[in-house]
Order: sequence, then structure tokens, then C-alpha cells
Amino acid sequence: MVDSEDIPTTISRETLERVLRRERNARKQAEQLLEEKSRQLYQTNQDLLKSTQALADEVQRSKVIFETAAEGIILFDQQGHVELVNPAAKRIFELTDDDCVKLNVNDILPLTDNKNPTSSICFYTDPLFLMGDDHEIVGRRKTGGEFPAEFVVAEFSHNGRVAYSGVVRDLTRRRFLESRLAQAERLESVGQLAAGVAHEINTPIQFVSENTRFLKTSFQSLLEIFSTMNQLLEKCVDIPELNPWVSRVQAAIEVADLPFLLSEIPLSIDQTLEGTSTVARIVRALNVFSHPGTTEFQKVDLNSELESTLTVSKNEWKYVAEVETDFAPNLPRVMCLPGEMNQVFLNLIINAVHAIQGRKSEGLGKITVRTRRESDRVIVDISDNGTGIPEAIRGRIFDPFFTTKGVGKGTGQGLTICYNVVESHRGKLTFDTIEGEGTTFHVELLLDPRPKGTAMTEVNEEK
Amino acid sequence: MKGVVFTEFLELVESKFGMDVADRVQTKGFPEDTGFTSVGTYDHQILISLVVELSRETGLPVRDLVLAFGKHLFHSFSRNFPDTLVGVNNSVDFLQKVEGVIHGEVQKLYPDAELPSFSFSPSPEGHFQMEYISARPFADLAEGLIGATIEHFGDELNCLRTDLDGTPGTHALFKLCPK
Repeated sequence: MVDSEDIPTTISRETLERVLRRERNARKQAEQLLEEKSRQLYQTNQDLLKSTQALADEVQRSKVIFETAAEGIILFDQQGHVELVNPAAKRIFELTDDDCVKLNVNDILPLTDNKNPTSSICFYTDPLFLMGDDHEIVGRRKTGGEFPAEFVVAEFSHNGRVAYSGVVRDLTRRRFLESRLAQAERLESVGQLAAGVAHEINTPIQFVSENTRFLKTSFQSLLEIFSTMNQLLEKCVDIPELNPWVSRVQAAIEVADLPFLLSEIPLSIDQTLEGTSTVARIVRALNVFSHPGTTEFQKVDLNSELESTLTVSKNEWKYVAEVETDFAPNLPRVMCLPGEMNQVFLNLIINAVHAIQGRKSEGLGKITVRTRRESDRVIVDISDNGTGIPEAIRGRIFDPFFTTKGVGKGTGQGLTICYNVVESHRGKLTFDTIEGEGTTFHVELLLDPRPKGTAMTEVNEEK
Repeated sequence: MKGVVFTEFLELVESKFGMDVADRVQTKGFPEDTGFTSVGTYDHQILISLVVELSRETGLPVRDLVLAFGKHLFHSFSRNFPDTLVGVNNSVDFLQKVEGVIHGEVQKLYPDAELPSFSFSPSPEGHFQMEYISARPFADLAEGLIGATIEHFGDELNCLRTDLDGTPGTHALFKLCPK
């Protein structure tokens, strides 16, 4: 080692410059290194920002899908504890955010055939359910109402544990449409059948009518002949050689009770004519009511349609109520689908009949059918003095499958069909009711529901 | 102002006027017991003080010194960052890259850097012109850089400067006209 005292105290300029140059180069290298690291850091940061943004976009997309999905989505654990519910599911089950706390999937999708409903095991996490493809079950809304539902569950792993996502679909509307379609097909068949029967009956009833009218006029002639023959008989009594013939004729008259025949036969003919006239009227009404094959809007005389509907439904109401009509004269024709509108009128009339049948009082009830025009629309009021509609159910009477009638009597579709048909005509179906006194349904229809400027095919414009 | 401007300035002084002059300029213009690093950020007033001290030391006008520094700075950049010149064939194309590409790269490393802005447009005579706007009065430095760029590419252009409104040296228009 060298003692510090031996180190020279003076440093040459060349030495200093070398030292300075080395220090400066070292500083520059350090600066370049720092810049390089800064550049790498920047790039890493940019990559991280991109990844974060992509992740945020993915989260946002998933959230939007979850929030806006038309089907209900429910996430739950193995015990059925609900962890997340999307807005569609809340709507379907009528749940609030608070309702979703401590909610179990068994509460809203109870299994009616569950042997052990209090079991902590969730049936929907059972492999048998997960593998199955028939997932139609009953859903239960918060208000207690039950509805047909489809529930499909998938198992997934999240944060190291098994969880389940269930997609629930309210099948009420689908069932209603299926049932309406089936009913429409039935009605179409019945309509076609009725039209066919009407056509077949029409021809014979026409010649029965004509022949009866012929018999009536012919019998008038026969009456005159009988009268003359009677006078001849009275003259023949005084001629002895004709007495045996007179006696035989008088005996035959007595046996046949000719005076009775002469007075009753015209009455029978008149009654027959009245009967054939009634048959012809019903046949015409059936034809008008059914409108087979009519699928396009046409201008329709609602007064006439209502008359037809009352005629074909007479058997429904004639022992329950008397019907009073108050039709506005010169009611303008309304652009509509006559077959569908007649279905509405028929449903409302039958509804009125059922309301009257539900009364405690005896005797015939009363159904009033009234038409009137208000500005650019026609209103049909169908009133009854039946039971009226209880306040508690007034908000639900147009809901599909809602009915207060007994099993087998009401399908809960009549008023829903009425509502949908009137809505599809851009009209309104409303009602006024007083419990215990009766109900009036108002069918409000635009004279022409077509949007201005559109040219829908008009069939039978002047029908 | 970025430290690289200070380190390059002092290197220029040292190389042109010697270590003693550089030491005196730094001692008087920046009487602190520390130096500059290219990655640091310093008050631009310090650079002005250094230039003023150099002018005192050498008797040369401040504008001439700053113009010369601008040229030095361009050569230094072209040496240290040769990628910025790759694929560029003339001064106009290079100057148009300053705002979008070079300043963009600077911002990556120094997000807080306050850089001057350059906007480009054709002059009424149909020539290329660029407007310089800065919070600091370094239009002379910009002029030196532009001159060095033209020289580097060997373009037959003159750079005509017009000072515009505002603090002198902060707002100027440079027209590049054919010689």
C-alpha cells in the first residue's frame, strides 16, 4: 500500500480532462439508460392501458348484455342462493333490489313436484336437471301469481368455486299466442263450416219458402172453390135423387172437420213461412258473422254486424237476459276486420251473459247494445246488469289466462283477445263497472285506423 | 426546459471557447453547486442567463450565439437520434415531422414537457410556412434549427422570419422560399 502522504497534491490538466471526459461519458450513458428504461416503461404502460381498456370494454359489454337481455338471468350458488339478478328477471318476478337480498332460486321457481321443498339442496344444480332438455316449470311472481316459465341452467367456475347461471323466460305470452292461434284455427274451421252449412241450407229453404207461398195463394183459390161448392151442396139438399151423394159429402166434411181445416191451414202456412224466414235470417247472420276467409280491412256497418252477432248468439242469452239495442241511425261504416270485430262483440256479449248468471237475483237480466259516433270514431257500448267487476281485479281482467270463472267455464282469454283485437285496430277497449250493479264495455274504433297516407287494400268497399 | 438543451449548450461552449469560458459562464449564469443532466428539467431563464453570460465573455451578440446553438442542437440530435431522419429526403418533410413525431416521442419520455407548437400551411405565394408559438422566447433557437435542417438536406431554400404578436421571440412565422 502507498501512504496517502506519498500521493502528489497537484493534478495535471491532462489528468483532469481525462477524468472529466470519463465522468461525462458515464453521465451520458446513465442518461441514455434512463431514457431507454423510460421508453420501455412508457411502452409497458401503454400496453397496460390497452389491456385495461380492453378489459373495461369487455366488462362493459358483458354488463350491457346482462342489463339489457330480454330474458331473465339469475346467478346462484350450489344451495340456490341468488347472487345476481338482471333487470329482465326482476321484471318477470316483480322483484325489487331489496327482494333480491337473501333470495333463493327455489322461492321464485318452486318445483310443484319437489318431494322436499324445505331441503337446502337446490334442485336446479342437480346434474339431472342440468343435462335435461325439458325445462318448463312454474315461476312465481312476488305478488304470488304463477306463470309458465322456461329455465335453463349452466354450471361454471368462478373464483375457484362452482356457480350457476340460469336463463329464465316467461312463457305466458307464448302460451297465450299458441292458444289464440289454436282458437283462431278452430274459429276459422267453425266459420268455414258455418258458411258451408249456410250455403247448403239456403237453397232448400228458398224452395220450401217459395212452395209454401205457392200453397198459401193456392189455398186462397181453394177456399173460394170450397165456398161455391158449399152453396151447391145446399141447393142439392132439395133434390131427392141427389140425397145419398149429399149425405156422403156431408159425412166426409164432418169426418175431416172441414171448417177447422179451413181456418187452421192458413195459420199453419203462415207459421211455416215465419219459420222459414227465421231460418233464412239465421243463415244470413251466420254467413255475415263468420266472414270466412276475410283477412283484409274493409268498410263495415257495425249495426248490421252486431245484429248478426246477437242472432247467432241468441241461444246463449235468450234464457238469461233480454237484449235491447240502441243503434245510431246512419252510423258511418268503420274500416276493420269484420271477423275479428264480431269475435270481440261475441266475447263481450257472452261475458255479459256470464256476469248476469253470476247474480244472486232471479229473473232475466238485461243486456244493452248501443252504437254512437263521436268525432272520427264509432263507439259500441255493451252493458249488462250483472255482478260488476271487483275493484281488486280490475287491473288484471285483460291479462292472458286471468279468469274468475269456474274450471271449464272460462279460459281467461276472451277479454285478452278483445283487448288485442281492438288495440290492433288502433282503438280502445275500456270499461265502467259498479260492483253488484253491472258493467259497460266501450269499444272505441277509429272510422279509418290506417295511418294517413297508407293504402291498405280495401275489399268490398261498398259492402 | 429539458436538460438536454443545457448539456448541449455547455458542450458547445466548451468545444468552441474552452473549458475555462464554459466554467465561468456556468458559474455566473447558474451559481449553484450542481450541474445539468439531459433527463432533468430546468427553468428556461437559466439558459437565457447562460447565453447572456456567454455573450459577455465573448463579446458576440446573443442572437448570433442562439442561432449558432440552434445549428449545433440539430447536428447533435441528428447524431444521437438518427432514426428521425430515416426516409426523409428534404427539410420540409422533416420539419413537418417535428410536431407530430419528434414532439410525440419527447412526450412519451417526458409527459410534463412544455413543448413549442408548429403549425404548417402554404404561404400566399404558394410556399411552405410554419408558425412558431411558445411560452418561452426561443424563436432564434427555432430559426437556427430550421437553418441547420435546410443545410443538412442541401435544399435551395431561404428561411424568412416574421415576428408576430406577443412577447418578442415567442411567436413567429417562418417562410421557406426558394433561393
